[in-house]
Amino acid sequence: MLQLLKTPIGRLRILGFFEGISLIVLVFIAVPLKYWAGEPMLVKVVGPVHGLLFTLFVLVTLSAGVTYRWKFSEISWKVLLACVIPFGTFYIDKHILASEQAVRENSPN
Amino acid sequence: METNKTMHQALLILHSINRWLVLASLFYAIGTALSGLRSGRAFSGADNAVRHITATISHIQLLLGLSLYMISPVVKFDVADTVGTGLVSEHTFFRLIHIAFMAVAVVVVTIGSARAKRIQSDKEKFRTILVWFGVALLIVLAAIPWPFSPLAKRPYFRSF
Repeated sequence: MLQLLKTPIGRLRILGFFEGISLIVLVFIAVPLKYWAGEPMLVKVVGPVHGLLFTLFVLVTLSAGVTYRWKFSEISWKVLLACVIPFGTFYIDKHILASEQAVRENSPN
Repeated sequence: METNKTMHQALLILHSINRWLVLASLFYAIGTALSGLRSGRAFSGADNAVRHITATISHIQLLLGLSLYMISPVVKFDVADTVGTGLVSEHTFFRLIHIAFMAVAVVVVTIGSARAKRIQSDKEKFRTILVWFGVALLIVLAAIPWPFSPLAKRPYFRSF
């Protein structure tokens, strides 16, 4: 975990995990509670948290994209798209980020 | 409602204080980049920490600012307008100008920091930090609501 924090891609993966969870809580629990049960409390709490995590995720994706010279048409757009789709960040973590990190850490830069 | 008010007050104070950290870190990073470039010394671990910490402080400031934006009355309502003093109303300044300029500045800092990390040559690392952080600093200085700003005026320090 601490090792992950040291590189942009590690930070992106951690952030993706929390961003993904906040989106799922928001879309599948908080929003239904607000509109079907008339209980807006959870949206009020989770909404801003998710918004901030989302912002940070976009920034760190930008940072990682520049650092690792990702081509936007190959990697970056998928990562950015994933963070607005429920479970998307978990998918790209498994299929893109994990292998990207493995490549980077075997040969620095 | 009451907790919202406390939250708003707390965010205002934090956003105001952290501004000085943003400025100090940017000035310091630019200063060391300039001296490093001139002396031709190696890009050290400390230089790399300065680069990273500067970017992180500006990210924190962005998150504080966005939290503030979501609950700020001056963003929400166009009522407390000071008539005819500034170039724009405070409502317009905080709803559009301040957030747009500062978001661009944070993106510039982020890109500059990432490029400096990627580049191999020590000299180019210093030069990248100097240029990108320099541009970001200019944008930030222009868009802070200084007490003497023609756009919107806020105090240097907020009292608790």
